[in-house]
Amino acid sequence: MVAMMPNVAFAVDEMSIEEADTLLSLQEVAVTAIKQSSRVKSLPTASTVIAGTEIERLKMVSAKNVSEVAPNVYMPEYGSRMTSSVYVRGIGARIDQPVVGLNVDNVPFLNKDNYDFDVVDIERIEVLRGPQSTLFGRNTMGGLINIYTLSPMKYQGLRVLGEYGSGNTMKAAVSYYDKLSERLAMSVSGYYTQTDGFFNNEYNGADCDTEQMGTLRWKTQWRAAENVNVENVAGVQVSRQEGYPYRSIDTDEINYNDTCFYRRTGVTDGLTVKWVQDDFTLSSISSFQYIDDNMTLDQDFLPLEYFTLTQKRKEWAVTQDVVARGKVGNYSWLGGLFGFYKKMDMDAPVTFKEYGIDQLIEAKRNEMNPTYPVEWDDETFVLGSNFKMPTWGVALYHQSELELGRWTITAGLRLDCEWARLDYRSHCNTSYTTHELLPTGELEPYKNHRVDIDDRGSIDRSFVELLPKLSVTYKLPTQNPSNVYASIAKGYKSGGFNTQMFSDVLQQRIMGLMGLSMRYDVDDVVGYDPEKSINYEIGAHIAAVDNRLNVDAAVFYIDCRDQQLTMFPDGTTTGRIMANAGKTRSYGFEMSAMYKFSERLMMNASYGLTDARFVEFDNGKTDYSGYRIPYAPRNTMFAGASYSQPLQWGWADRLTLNVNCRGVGSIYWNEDNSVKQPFYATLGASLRLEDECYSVDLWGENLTDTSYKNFYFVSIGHGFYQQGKPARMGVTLRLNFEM
Amino acid sequence: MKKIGAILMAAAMSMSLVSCGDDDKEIIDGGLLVFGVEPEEMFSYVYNEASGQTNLYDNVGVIVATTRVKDATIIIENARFAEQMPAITFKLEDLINTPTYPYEYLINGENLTPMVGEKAMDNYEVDDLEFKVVMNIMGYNCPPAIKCAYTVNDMIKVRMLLKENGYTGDTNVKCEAAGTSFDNANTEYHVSLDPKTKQADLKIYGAKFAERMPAMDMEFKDVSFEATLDGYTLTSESLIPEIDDVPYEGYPITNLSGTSDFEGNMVLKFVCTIRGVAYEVSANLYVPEQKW
Repeated sequence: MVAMMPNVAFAVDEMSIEEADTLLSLQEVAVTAIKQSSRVKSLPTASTVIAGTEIERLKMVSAKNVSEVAPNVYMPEYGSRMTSSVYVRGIGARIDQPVVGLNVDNVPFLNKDNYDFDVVDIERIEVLRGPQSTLFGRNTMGGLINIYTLSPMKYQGLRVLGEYGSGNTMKAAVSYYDKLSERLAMSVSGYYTQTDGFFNNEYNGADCDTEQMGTLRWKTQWRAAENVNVENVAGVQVSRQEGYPYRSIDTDEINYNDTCFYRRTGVTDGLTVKWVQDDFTLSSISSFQYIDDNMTLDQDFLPLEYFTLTQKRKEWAVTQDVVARGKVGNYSWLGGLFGFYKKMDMDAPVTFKEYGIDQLIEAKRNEMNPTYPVEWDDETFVLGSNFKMPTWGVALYHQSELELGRWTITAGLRLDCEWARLDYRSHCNTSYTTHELLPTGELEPYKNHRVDIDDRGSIDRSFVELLPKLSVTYKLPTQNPSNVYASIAKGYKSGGFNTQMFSDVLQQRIMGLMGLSMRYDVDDVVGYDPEKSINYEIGAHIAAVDNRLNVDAAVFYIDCRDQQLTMFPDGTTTGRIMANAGKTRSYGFEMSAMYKFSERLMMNASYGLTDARFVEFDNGKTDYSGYRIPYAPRNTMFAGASYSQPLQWGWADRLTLNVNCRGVGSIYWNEDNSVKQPFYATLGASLRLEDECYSVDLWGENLTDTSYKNFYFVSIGHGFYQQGKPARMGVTLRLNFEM
Repeated sequence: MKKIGAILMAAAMSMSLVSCGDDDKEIIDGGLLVFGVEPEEMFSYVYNEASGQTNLYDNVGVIVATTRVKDATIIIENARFAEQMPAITFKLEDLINTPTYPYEYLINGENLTPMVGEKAMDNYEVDDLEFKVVMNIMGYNCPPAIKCAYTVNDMIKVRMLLKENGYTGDTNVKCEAAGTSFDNANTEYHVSLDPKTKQADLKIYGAKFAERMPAMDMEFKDVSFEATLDGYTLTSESLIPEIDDVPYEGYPITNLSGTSDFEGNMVLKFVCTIRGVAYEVSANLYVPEQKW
């Protein structure tokens, strides 16, 4: 990332929080913060704002990076860029719908699978924790991440980034910002990164977490009239990843024989138009998103011929949000209408191979009838699955805010309606032969069986939710802006369909033709219901000591119904499903603090504690009531210090040392809490030499080479985990030629 | 069932059978409903009270034509009452259908003279006529439960049975060794009766012996059956079930007994032994009734 400009507000280094947050003070960026105050710290919600050099110092390039800083937010890096598991305050999802919304320059990203991409020139990142469903609707029950990129209206010039680090990791970025007139400015950014990764596949000795990724972004800001601002951000991203670095918990090896990769091409465009009047603004946010990706997996992750999965997907989505805001005296109001449509086409065949046929089908069947064993006629066969999933929704929302002296009362309500359909086709054409075991021990063919399946169907779901919120904020009578607040809000994560289960449904259909199967009701195992929560929170945003000390703190309690959990149902081999648990609850505490001792020394820290457990969850076999919710860390921690020494060297005017420590855990990986990752911490540091036009950083991450697990799962009865990245070092050069 | 459907279709076309609107009134007032079972799908059980002799006669059919509330006619095809008697087709006229809901058939009669064509068979008298149909709503191709019973000359009792019968109901599986009892409401049963061999095939769809076991589609072949004046019974001391035409010797079935009546009820019991552990299965079954 290139350095932020000195006259742009920074949350950490030079400006007050209020100044850092109040981007609206600059006319050129009036399109930001459409639905909320830009003064994030004035909102009755727990929030973390990362801006300026802190983004560079922590090497933040994507939404995932915020989990290293924001308390009670966990977005581990594992698998591929398709996998964006997000857990906030004990609520989260590994697959399908997200719990945290992502907006980049006000444009909503609907598909969690598209959350993980690198963004050039991030100006600031806001993490709002707690349900944001009233204003932002579906899939924001855990919170919201807003990423804002640099404005060409504010900055003009050329920025260049070059970085090299461990794992033969390279990054390069070039951005050009220009103001074509007083009313029109554009920027064009190009970014490329590649890495050989850090892990090897023992089977063939190849690197198994290599990546190449490139992005292009074109941002246009146009003041069409004195009070009309238009912003358009178009982007293309292409990524190619090879392999998945999943380690067997039995052998502690990454060792699989079939091809694994993830390829993605994404196109986005977001158009924001804002019309500003004295007491009224009207904004329109339109977006288009397209993803074309291919995930191919050795799904058993073993050096055996079990089965492979290919998931090819094309998804289109359009959104439209119209927001009106106004203020009359001490009463502010906001109203909006949101609509979206997205359609996904997916082709997801599972190829059963020789060993998988033998172990998962023939062995089970022949155990029941050894006198008449079966043998497949082919070495492999395909369970074909094709899906079309159109989803559309509309929402109407309103929020009122009344200021009564130091008190502000905020109430909001959203009516959210959504319809989803899954058109599926499961097909398979194969055959097997039953033999008779003769007294001589020989096998004689007894009967040949054809398996010709072509199941087609359609499942519909519709969801209607009312999403209210109520909060009270009290501005403290202090010199620096501070407040305390209490809020109650409802969160909502929409239901959907477990497409991954179809291979298991089809496999059981084949077993059924052989006369024995787990009978799945497709509607039951494929569909899952919405998850709902009520979030109770009390918090404070405190600024003191002439704004040199900033503290945010919150305590929360979340009552969740029908929490969506990733499970591996009985009889499954390939599928994981989203099932609804009965009830869960989560309570905890989080705090972040920043203290600027002097112009040279600054420290910041954050800590989050979450106790998230099942209240009622009995899956018919085991009662998990009282157990910890899996994948949700109990503690998250960050501590950092930065010391800056002015220099008189002529070619460098400052030397800055940064040290940070990040910690997460414990994390349980399954419902019965039998496997866990204890708390762990990693150490990072950087030394920066900089002048007006350049900066050079020598950096290190996980300098203690702490070994930890990012993620754990089970496939056909075997446990696998992804190890966190080892110690890494590198150097980053940034050039900035401002016009 | 396809043949039943064909009869219905042909009759509907010839009798102006329609299903909605003003035509309903026409049906109720003067139109005809026709129900029938092809001879290939039925057989009769004949009991001679005087001699005590019983016989099964294959390929006996029945057709019923009726208005919704009155004037029914029953035609019995290929009826036989004794070995030396040739098969005859006769009709019973001037009957009354007294359904309790639309499309039900409930016909009784006494002192009836069978007609062969236009000629009355004066040396025969039919009494104790009972004709009732319970429509089957199960998913697979299976006819309804039918009771067609009558007595000829006060001496020869006739019962007509369907060769294909379908049931569902509650199945309980007890395992004494494990101390478990498992109820399954999703199992379907299909009984095929062969009057020539006096053997039945019993197919069980979705049989589960324990909660976490896979469901099985099993077939019990060559089960002995006996027709009675009240229905039929099934017995087998021991048999090897088949799945997809493949014998499963590891799942022997013993002590099978079943009793079915003409109202569509059946009680079935058997023991399945898996790896030396006995699972006692008892099922209370019925033909699920469809009331239009």
